[in-house]
Amino acid sequence: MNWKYVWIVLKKELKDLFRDKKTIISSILLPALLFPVLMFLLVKGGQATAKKAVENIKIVVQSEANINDIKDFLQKEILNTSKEKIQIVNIKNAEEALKDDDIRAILYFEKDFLTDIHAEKTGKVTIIYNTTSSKSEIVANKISQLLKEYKERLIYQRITSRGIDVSILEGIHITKKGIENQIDQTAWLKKMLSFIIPLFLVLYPIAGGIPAATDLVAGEKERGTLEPLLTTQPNRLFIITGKLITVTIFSMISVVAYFSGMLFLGFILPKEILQTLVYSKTFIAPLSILLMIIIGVLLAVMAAALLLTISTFARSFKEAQSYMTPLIFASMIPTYMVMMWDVSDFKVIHFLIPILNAVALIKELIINAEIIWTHVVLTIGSTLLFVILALIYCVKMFNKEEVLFRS
Amino acid sequence: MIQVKNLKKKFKKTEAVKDISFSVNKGEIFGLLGENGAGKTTTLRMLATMLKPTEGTAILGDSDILKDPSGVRKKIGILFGGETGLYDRLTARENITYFAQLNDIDPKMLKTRIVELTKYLSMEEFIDRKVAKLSKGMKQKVAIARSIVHNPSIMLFDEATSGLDISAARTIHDFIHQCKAEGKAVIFSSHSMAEVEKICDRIGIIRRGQLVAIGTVEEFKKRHGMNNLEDTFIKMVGDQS
Repeated sequence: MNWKYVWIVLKKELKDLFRDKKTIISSILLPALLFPVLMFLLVKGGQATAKKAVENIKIVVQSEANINDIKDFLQKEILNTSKEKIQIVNIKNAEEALKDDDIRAILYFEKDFLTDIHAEKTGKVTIIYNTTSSKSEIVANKISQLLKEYKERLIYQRITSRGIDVSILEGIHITKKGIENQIDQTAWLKKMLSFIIPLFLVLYPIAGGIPAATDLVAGEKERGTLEPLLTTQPNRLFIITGKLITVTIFSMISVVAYFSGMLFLGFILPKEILQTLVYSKTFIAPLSILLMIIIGVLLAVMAAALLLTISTFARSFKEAQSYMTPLIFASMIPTYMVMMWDVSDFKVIHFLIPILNAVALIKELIINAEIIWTHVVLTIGSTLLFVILALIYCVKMFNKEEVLFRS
Repeated sequence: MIQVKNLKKKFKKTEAVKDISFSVNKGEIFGLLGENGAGKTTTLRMLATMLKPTEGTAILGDSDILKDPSGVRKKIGILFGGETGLYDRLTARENITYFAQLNDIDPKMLKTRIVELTKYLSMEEFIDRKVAKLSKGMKQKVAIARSIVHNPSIMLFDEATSGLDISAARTIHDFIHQCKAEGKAVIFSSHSMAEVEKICDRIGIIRRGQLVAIGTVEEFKKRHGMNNLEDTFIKMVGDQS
């Protein structure tokens, strides 16, 4: 192998691709920003809606009984206990106002509501809200909670007035205590990460490598730069090796960009989550992280070889993209399969199937405190074998003139 | 300088080139004239070692395309038509440098060579501009510089003027004449009779992968009693079909 030529090709390809806005956006900016921005907007959006929903709450009260008595009762017994100010308004067409988001809810009290309450019977009230408005839904839940609290107070009053101990209503006292809670504070976080990390460690080498791979062979064919390149001194092995390393670098940059984004997301998450992550000694062992990085690199090389093979086969940029896009979805299948399985369900065969083995091992490394070395060796060994096969196939395709000059 | 011996190329069941033989001397411009799909590009691709012949071979300088493809590539420069085959996001200088490095130009000599070529092709104004921002004529000059950066003794032109306006095509014609003056052996493939008639010393007419006639324009006209190459070509093609 003449590395001088590989280095010349690699240097040129990197310079060329780093000047391409499309590649920078798809391979670096999108993986880094998409998830954090999405989460940030969801959290902030949710907070803003919740805040707006409880600002200036207007409701309408309806009843066939004396409306003023009902309103007095509602204000005194229920609404006065609320932290937020809830205003009862008079509107003729209340249902239209609810649809138009002018009021948040309508409270309909049955004709005999107050009589029933006083007679120690069940008073009936209906909360009408707009199911298409999250603000209306939030207020309806709020009022429902206030009514429930009133109901509990009422029951307490009725029972104690008869000289009975309220605890007889409880029957059984249940305490729910998760076993993981005592051993590992980060169990829930690990569960979440055991899905997210493999998903993106498999997805981003492919998604991030697509722009580079498409540009480097199919793009060269389309622009007419491939033929002059093939008439230069280096043989095709050196040229494709340079291109393979370039795509691998872009695949890895995508993964790094994604995890940098996730790290950033960590800072905008509630502080308790960050503290759990930082202070927990049982989180993910450094050796497990190192093994995940090795698997990530192997997956990136495999993705680069596959993508460049497709790019070599394709006649044009568009054709290459249409062949490569389904790969993104295909890569998600093993991740979703493994998500359904428990770590104890894994069998030796799972660690021999490419991609599935990587996803399974990463899950195992995150969930288990101890590393199962047989699984590590099987996964890395079989992945390495598939990487070598993918590389050989890629080089073979690049040397096949009926593929390279397909028209 | 160039000796093509019984060259054949088969793609699955299709015979793209059938037993072609010809030679080109030093300082000679040899035209490969034929319709689209006649086999001109396949022949040139084999001479440039991009494709392996199914049978036969060719000697370029003292290198055999089968035995010493790397030696052949050292001796040839190739210029294509249509798209100039340059990297848009790189500057003209970066494009030329890339091909110079891939053609083993001594790094110490590289700067001097680029200065020489810049002067030779009057590229001073745009040598450090990105190719995407250059006009077609400017791109054509950069493509020429790229093809001769390693000072080849043989030049191959594959429909090099197709899609070019008159002045850009003129730049190519002048460059071909310059190559001849420098003693390079030139193969110029085209489907344009007028162009071939104007610049080539000898012509090989290629049809359905076969070289049906070789000679000078005057010889063809005389042989078929015609006044111009176009009429001669139509007559010859008609005779063959």
